[in-house]
Amino acid sequence: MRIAVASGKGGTGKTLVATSLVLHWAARGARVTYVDADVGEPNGHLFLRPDIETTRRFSVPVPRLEGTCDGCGQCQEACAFHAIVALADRVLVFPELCHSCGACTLACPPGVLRMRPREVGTIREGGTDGVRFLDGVLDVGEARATRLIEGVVTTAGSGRVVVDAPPGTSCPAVSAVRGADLAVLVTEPTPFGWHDLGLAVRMCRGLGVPPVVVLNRADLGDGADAALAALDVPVIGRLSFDPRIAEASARGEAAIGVVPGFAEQVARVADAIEGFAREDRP
Amino acid sequence: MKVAVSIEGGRDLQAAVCPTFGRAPRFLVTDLETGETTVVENTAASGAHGAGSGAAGLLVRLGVNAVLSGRFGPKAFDALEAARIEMFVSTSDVNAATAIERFRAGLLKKASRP
Ligand code: SF4
Ligand code: SF4
Repeated sequence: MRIAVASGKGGTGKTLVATSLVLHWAARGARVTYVDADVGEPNGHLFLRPDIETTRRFSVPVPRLEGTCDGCGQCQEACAFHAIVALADRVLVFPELCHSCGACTLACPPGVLRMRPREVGTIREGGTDGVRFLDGVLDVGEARATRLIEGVVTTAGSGRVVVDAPPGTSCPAVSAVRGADLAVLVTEPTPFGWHDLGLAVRMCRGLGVPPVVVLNRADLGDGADAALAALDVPVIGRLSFDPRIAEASARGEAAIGVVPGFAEQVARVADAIEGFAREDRP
Repeated sequence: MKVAVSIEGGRDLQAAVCPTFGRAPRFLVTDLETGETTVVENTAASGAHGAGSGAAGLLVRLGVNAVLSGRFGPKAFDALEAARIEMFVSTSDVNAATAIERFRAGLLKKASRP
């Protein structure tokens, strides 16, 4: 069972929900993996404080000139992403545009273009409190996050996996949600929240991943019922606003252990997720 | 010397200078020695990414020596610079003919790194 915890925008409490869920399951003896796929700004480690046991560099293949180029331009013609420009006697590769498809290398008449690894980030693995922890950290200045996201999600393998997806609905979020059994969309009851939630719901449906909603700070703001009804998406939990949650997080403590009532709310969300997962897989 | 101008709203010397390089719908290319002028569609303009590098690649293939446009993005700048195609900034409230005249008269400034 792979669950993606996502949100239409940042700062909705997505990481709080994702980390609380894994701690909840781990406390009940389940084997669970937490994956921080927000590789541009991973912060799950601040919540879980894992011991990192292994780190490995992650690379993606990009073309490199290894030989004499006659400037014929065939590589440039072949690239659908405009990631390579053929100059008179060499090529200019834009790695942030390259999709690693290899078409340019196949098109090169003298065969002097080769796909070679280019490091884009790091995958870290470790554990804490019975939770297996994984995150991806994109190198500073690196623009394309999607490959690293796919890499860190794939590293998690099967079993019970909770993916903390990047916020938003663009390519990075799509890469993290694709293939999940369920998407848990964390939102706050604000007009902007509803708009972004609508986008996130559409993204999930487009990917064939059923979305459910967790309403964070549910007791702030109103109009939630009408907005949620309009989106026709099930709400599996409401977390109430409690300043002690943020305080616990700031101290690096798990809110489910120290904030009264919060563990029960998380437990209800976790049970609902299990219910959905069972329904989905008869 | 071959000079390209990013243009929009027309397909000849009367067309307006397009303020952006990568997203320009087409380029007018003129040979200053022979006066021969052609218009090429910018096939890279419509994609989600890579318009700048794609348009630069197009001009490299056309063998132009200089290009006039309102603004050059970072990837276009890198590619054009690597290809030794000189970049000049033209206002977009004039047509291609005027921009080329100003270029000939040495009135256009070189583009700086975005
Ligand atoms: S590998 Fe594919 S995307 Fe990358 S430069 Fe070559 S053709 Fe373009
Ligand atoms: S296809 Fe090969 S030889 Fe031709 S320009 Fe590209 S790298 Fe050079």
